Amino acid sequence: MKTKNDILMKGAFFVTLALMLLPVVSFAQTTGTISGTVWDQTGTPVAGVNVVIESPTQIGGKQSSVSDQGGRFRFSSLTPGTFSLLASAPRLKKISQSGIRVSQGKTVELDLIVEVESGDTPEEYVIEQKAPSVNTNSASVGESYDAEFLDKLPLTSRDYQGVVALTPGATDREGSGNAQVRGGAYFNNSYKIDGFETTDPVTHTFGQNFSFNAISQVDVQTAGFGAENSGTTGGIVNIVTKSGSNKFEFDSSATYTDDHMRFFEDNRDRGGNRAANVGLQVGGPIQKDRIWFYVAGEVNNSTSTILADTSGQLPNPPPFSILAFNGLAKITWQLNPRNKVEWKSTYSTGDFRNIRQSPFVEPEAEARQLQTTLFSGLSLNSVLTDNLVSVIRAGYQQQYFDVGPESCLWDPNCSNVPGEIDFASGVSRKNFTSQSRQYRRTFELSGDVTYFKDTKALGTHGIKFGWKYLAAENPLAMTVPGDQVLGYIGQEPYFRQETCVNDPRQEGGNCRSGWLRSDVKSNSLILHLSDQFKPTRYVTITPGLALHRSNSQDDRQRIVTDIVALTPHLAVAWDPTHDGRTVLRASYNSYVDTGFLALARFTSRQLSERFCFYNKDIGGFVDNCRLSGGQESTTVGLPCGPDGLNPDGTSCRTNLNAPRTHEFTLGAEREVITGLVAKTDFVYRKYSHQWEDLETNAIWNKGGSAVRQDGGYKNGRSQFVFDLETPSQARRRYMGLSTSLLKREGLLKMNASYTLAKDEGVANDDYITSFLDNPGQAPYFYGPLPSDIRHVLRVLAQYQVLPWLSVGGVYEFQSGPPYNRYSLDPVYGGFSRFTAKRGYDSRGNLNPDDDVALRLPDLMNLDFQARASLRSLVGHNIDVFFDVLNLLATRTPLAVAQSDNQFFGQTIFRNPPMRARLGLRYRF
Amino acid sequence: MSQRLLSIWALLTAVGAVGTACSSDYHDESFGVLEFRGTPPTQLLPEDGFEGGGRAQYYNFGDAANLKNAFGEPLSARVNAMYFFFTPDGKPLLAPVMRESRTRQDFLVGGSDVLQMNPKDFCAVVGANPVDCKALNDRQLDRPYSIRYRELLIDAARGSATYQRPIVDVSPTDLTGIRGIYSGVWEIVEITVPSSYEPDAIKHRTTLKKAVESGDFKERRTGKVVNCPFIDERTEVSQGVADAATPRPRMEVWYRNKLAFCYLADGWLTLGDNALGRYPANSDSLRLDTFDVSRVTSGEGVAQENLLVVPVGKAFVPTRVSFDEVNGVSRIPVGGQIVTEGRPRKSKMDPPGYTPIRWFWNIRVEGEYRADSFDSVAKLDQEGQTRAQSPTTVRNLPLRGVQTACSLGKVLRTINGRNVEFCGRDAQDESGNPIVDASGDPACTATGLQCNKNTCFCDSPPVKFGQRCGEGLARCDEDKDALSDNGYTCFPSNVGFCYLGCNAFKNNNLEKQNRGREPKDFVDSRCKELRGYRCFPYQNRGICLRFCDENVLDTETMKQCQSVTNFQQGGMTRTVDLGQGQQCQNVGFQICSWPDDYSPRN
Repeated sequence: MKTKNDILMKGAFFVTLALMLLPVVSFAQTTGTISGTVWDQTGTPVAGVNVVIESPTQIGGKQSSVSDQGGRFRFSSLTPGTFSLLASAPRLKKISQSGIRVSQGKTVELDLIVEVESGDTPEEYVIEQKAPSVNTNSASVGESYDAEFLDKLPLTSRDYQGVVALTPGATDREGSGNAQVRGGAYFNNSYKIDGFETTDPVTHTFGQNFSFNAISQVDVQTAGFGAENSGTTGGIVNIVTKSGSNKFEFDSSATYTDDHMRFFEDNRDRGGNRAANVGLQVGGPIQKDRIWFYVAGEVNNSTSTILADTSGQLPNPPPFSILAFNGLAKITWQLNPRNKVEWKSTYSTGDFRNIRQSPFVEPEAEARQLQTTLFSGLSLNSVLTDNLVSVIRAGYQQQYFDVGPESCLWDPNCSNVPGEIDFASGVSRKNFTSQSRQYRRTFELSGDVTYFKDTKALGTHGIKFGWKYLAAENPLAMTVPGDQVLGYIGQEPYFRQETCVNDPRQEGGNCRSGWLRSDVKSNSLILHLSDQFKPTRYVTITPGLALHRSNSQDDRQRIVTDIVALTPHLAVAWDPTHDGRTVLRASYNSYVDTGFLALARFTSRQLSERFCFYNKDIGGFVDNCRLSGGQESTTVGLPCGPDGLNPDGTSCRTNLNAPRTHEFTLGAEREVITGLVAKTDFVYRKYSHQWEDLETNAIWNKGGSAVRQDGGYKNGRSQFVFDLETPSQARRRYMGLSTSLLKREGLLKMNASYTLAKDEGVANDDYITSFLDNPGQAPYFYGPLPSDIRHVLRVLAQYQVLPWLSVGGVYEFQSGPPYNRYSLDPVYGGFSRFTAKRGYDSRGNLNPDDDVALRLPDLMNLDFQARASLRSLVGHNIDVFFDVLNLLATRTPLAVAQSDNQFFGQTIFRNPPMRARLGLRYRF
Repeated sequence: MSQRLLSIWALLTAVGAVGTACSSDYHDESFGVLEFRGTPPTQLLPEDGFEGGGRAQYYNFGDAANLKNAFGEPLSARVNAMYFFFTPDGKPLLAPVMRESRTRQDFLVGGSDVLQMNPKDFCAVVGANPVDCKALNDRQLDRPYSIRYRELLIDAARGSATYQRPIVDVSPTDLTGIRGIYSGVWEIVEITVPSSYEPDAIKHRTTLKKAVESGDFKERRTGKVVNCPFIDERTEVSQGVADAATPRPRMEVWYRNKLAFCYLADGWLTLGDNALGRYPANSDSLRLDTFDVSRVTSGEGVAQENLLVVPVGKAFVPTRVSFDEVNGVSRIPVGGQIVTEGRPRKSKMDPPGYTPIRWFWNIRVEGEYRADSFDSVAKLDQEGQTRAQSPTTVRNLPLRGVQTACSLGKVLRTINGRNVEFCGRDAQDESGNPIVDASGDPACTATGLQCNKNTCFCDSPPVKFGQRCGEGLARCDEDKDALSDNGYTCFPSNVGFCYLGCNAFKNNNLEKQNRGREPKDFVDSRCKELRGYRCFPYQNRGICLRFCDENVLDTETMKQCQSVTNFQQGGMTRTVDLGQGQQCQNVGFQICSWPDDYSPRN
C-alpha cells in the first residue's frame, strides 16, 4: 500500500536524479581545495601567474591554474594528501611551497608574495615559502590523523574506532567502538568511508569493519559540522582510504600477542589470550596517470577464555574466538583532466564463537555470531569550469548477522531444542535461547555542486548545494529454539516461557511456532545549501540551511517516524593577525536526528511470550502467567495510553518532534612557533526532544512504587505498552573546553589535548530507557551522565630518535565517570530504580541532603612503542615494532556493579593488564 | 588575543551566574516521593482495644521519639514544625479536604491544577441533557477509575486550583542526625507569603528559611499542634468503624524537595471547622487543641531550649507471660486488647487528658484471663495486676474513636449445638426461615453505620454479591441467602468486591470429575457446581472463584467469565450472570474477577 510519504520520497528521488544528471563540475566533502591569491610586495594582486600543484595522491599528474585579475587561483576536488606548489611568471622569481596538507572538506588558503627578478638573479632562483598550518576559513572542530602518524603510535585498538576515541571531546572508556562525542549518545555518530555513508542503518553505530593499513587518513569532526552534516548530532568520522599511485607498491604487516606477553595478571583475568593479524596491500598504476588500483586485506584471529570455576561445580567455559577478514578494493580512473571516477568496495566477514562467556553457561548453551559486511561505492568528481565543481556518489552497503546457538555446529536439530535455565545453580543449559538472522541494507545517492564567484564589491563566494538520499531496509527473521524456554530448580519444573510468532489473543488462543519474519524500511533526504562568503581576505562567513525529510515504516507498513525539519547554520572564521597563522572562529548549528531503523523495529511485531510458573498442585504451568511482546506492546505518539484518548474523550495523538541539537562553538587557533599549533575550542550543545520510549498503559501512584489499585492499567490488561515519543523532558546538555597542542612536522610529532567537560541530562545510553516509564522516578534522572568525564588529558607523541629508530607513546588521563546505585523495581522487576539523584548514592537513607556522588576512579594509561627500521641491515624496507600497552600496569575499574545488592560496587570490568605486542612491516 | 578571549569567557560566565542566581530564589525542584525502605504494608488497619469501658479502635503509626526523665522514663514527645502557607490577606493556601465517595477516604493534596477527587457526574450539571449526560457518564465508566474525567478543584476565595503543600524538615526515614526527633506531631507555623508567590514553589525548609530571612515572607508560630504521622505512599490507612464524622485526610507535605504523605489522625479541628472550612491566618482562638500540649525547657546553658511537647500517655496491653527452659521468658500480648484513657477533644468544652503518644505497658495476665476483662485503665488498677513495662516502646498510637454499641436487644440462638448471642430482632426471611434482623438500629443509624449483629457494635453496612466492600467501607454479608448458602466474601479483603462465599473446610465431592481437566473446566460441589468455579480457602472461610485463560481475545474473555445460574427468590426463579463485568485477571493464577476500577452500570 502506497502512502503519502512514498509519493513524496519518490518525488525527492527524481529531483535527486535530475540533479545528478546536470553537467556540472565537482567538489566533494572527501576532497579538499587549495585556493589563494598572488600578491606583489606592495600588496597589489598579480594576474597571469601560473600556479602548478602536485602530490603523489593526486591522479592525473600536475594541475595548473593561472591567477585572475584579482590574483586569485583555485584547485578544487583534490584528494587529501601533501601537496607541493610552484608559481611562476615571466620576470618574476619562482615561488615554491611544499608540505601543503590538504584535508577532506577543507580549503587551504595561500598568499603568495612574488618578487620581480633583478637582473643578476639566476633564472632558476626559487623562493621557498612556508605552507600554512592553520585553516583560517573554517569553524569546524575536530582532528585529522594521517596514516603515517597513526602507524607509529602504540594504539590499543588498531582500528579507526580506536582512533576516534582519542580525539578531544570523544570518550569510549570501555572500548565499545562507538565513542560518545560531545554529549552525543553512542548512536549519534556518522561513519563514512570516502564520504559515503556507512553507518549501520538499524543501530546507527559503525557499520563497516576496515583494514587498519588501508586507512590514509581518519578525520574526526566533533563540532561545527555545518549544513551538509546537519543530520548528525554526535561526531562525524570520515575515513579516507588509500589509493594506488603511479608507483607499484607492496605493503604487508603482521602483529602478534599472546598470554606470554601479558604481565601482572591476577586470578580475575581471562586466560588463553592470543591475537594475530596479517595484512597485505598492493597498489599501483594500471595506466600511469589514468587508472590506479589498490587492494588491501587482513586476517584477524583472536581467542580468550574466562577462567574456569576452580570448585568444579560450574561448567568449563569454551574459548571465545574471532576469525575475521577485512578487505578493500579500489579503482581510481581519471577519465579526462576534469573528470575522475572512483570505485571502491569493502568486505568483511567474521565468525564469533562462544560469545556469551559466562561461568553460568554450559558449552551447549553458548552462542555464535556470523556476520558479513559489504560496501560498494562509485563516485564521479568533475571540474567543468574553474568556478563550478561537483561530486556525485552512488553507494550500497549491506550487513548480515546470524546470531544463534553454538550447538548448530554439531546438532542439525538445534532449532528444535529448547534452552533451559536452572535457578538452583543459575546455569543455562541444553541450548541458547534465541536465534535471529537479518540483513541491513542501505542505498545512497548523494552529491553536491559548488559554484565559486569572486567579486570586488561582494567578496568571494563558494555557494554549495548538496543532497543525500538514503533508502534502508532491515529484513529480519527470529525465533526461539524449541519455541520455549524452560526453567528448573534442580530437576523440578519452575517456569515455562512459550513463544509464538503470532499474537495468540488475535487468533483465538492459537500459538504458531517457527520463525517470525518482518521487514522495516526507511527513506531520508537532506537538501543543503551554504555559502562560504569572504567579505574580506581575512574573514569567512558561512551561512547554511538544510532541509530534512525522513520517514520509516514498521513491518506492518505503519509509518513510525515522519519528520520534516529545517536546520539553520552560521559559522564565522577570522584571521586577526592577517598572516594565515591565527584564526578566531565561532559557529551556531542546529542538528536533527531523523531516526534510524531500530525505531521502526521497536514498533514492529515481536515474538509473543507467555510466561507461567509451575503449579505443583495442578501439575501444569498455570501460575502468574503473563503475556508480553506480540503486536500490541508498542505504539507511536500516543502518550495518554494505547487507546489514544484523553480522559475527556479527546485524542492525544501527537506528531513526533524531531530530536534537535543546538550547538554553539567558540574557538581560537594559532601557530605559536613554526610547526607548533595551539588551539582551544569551547562547545556547548543542548539536546532536546530525544528519542524515548514511554510506558503508557500502567497507572502509577505518585512515587512510582506501585501500579494503582483503582485501575492499574488503562486497557484493562496487566500489560506494559511502550510508546515511541520525543518528549520535551528527554533532554541533555554538554559543555566542553578543549585545548590542544599540535606538532605535525619534524622529529617530534605530537597531538596533546586537555578537555574539561560537563555532560548532564536525563539519559544518553539508549533510546529505549526507563526514563518516564515510571512517573515517580522521573525527577531522579537528570544528572551527570555516564559520559560525564570532567577531565581528559591525552598526549599522542612520536619521536625519531635515530634515522632507524623511533619511539611513540599514548598517555591518557580520564577522571572517573559517575555511576548509580539502582534498587529493585518491584513492578518492572530488576534493578532499575533510583533512590537518589542520578550519579548519587542515598547512603541507605532517604534524606536527600546527605547524598554522596558516585564516581569511578580516575583512569591513567600509558602505551609505548619502539620501532626500528632494518633497511640499513637487510637492504629491504622492513620495520619491526614492539608495543607495550598499559605500561603503568594500572588495573583501574572501568565498570562496577550498580545493583543495590551484595554485589554493589564490585568491579566487573577493569583496565586490561600490561601487555606487549610484536609487529612487523614490509614495504616494497 | 588570549586576553580578548578571556574577557569573553568572563563576560559569559558572569551573565550565566547572574541569571542562575535570579531564577533560583525561593523555588525548589520537586525531587520525587519519599518512600520508606523495604516493602511497607499496603494497608494499615485499626487495632482494637478499649477506652473508658468502651470498645475502641487505634492506629499504630510506629515509634515516636521522646524526651525522658532522669530515670529514663518517657515523658513527652517533641513537636516539630509544620509550615502552613497563607496569602498576604490571610487566606489559606492549604487545599480543602476532599472525600472520595467511592472509598470514603479523605484527602488533602496540593500542587498546581489540583483535580477533584471524584469523577465528574455529567448528569449533576444543571440543565444537562439526560441522554447526552448519560452517554458521557457511560464513557467515563469505560475507563479506569483513576483516569476518569475530573474537574479542577478551584479555591473560590482565590480563584485558583493551585495549593501549597505544608513543609516539614523531619521525617522518620532519616538515619542520620535528626532521626531522634521525629514523633509525628507538628506545630502549626504560619507563613505569610508575598502576593507574587506562586503556591507550591517552595519545597524545602532551607529555602523557606531564606525567604523568611529576606523579609518577604513572615513566619508566626501558633503553639497549636496536630498529629499527622508519616505513611508511605503505598500504605492506605483503612477507615475504621468509629467516629466516621471527623475528617482524617491523607495529607501531602514537602520534605526536603520530596513529596511525603502523612495521615491527619488528630487535628482537623485545629486546621478547620466541622463544615470543612479552613481557618485563615491569625485565628489561634478558633484552632482547637485536640490533645494535650505543654512547653518544657530542655538542656542547660547554651544548649537550653524551650520546647513544645506532647505528654506521653500509657497504653496497656494484657500479656501472658510464660517460661520454659528451652525458650526462656515469653511474653504474648493478647490481641485486640489495647487499653488507654482519654479521648480527642471535639470542642472546647471537652475535657483534656488525651494524648496520641503512648508508652506501651505490658499487663501480666494469667492463662485463664478472659478476653475483654480489662476495658478501662481504672479497671486495671482495681484488678491490681502486676505491671511489666516495656521501657523503650513509645508509639504514635492515636485513638480513632470509640465504637458505638448497638441499641437493639440481644437474641440467643443455638448454632451447631452452641448458644450464640446476637443483637437484633427476631424475624423471618422471604422463605419463612427464622433470622436475626439488625437493620435500623437507632444508635448506629445516627452515626451513619449499621448494627453488626455478630459483634453487637455499629459497623460498616453489609452488602451482597458484586458490591464494593472493604475495611471500614462495607462488609460482605456472611448470611445465607437465596443466591448463596454461605453468604459472600470480600476479595481482595482490604478493598474489593463481594463474591460467593463457600465452606472451604468441606471437601469437594466432585473432585474425581476434575482429573485430566483444564482448570477452567473444573467443577466444585461447594460452588454450586458451576463450571470453572473452585472454592479457595480465604479469610477463614472460603470464596468461589472461576478459573479462566488470559490468552484469548477480549470478547472471548468476557464470554469465558460468563456464568449464568438460577436461584429462587420470593417464590420465583431468577437468572443471574455471576460473571457480568468480570475480566480474566492474573492474581497468582488466572481467575475471573472484577477489575479494581469496576463500576456497576446499574
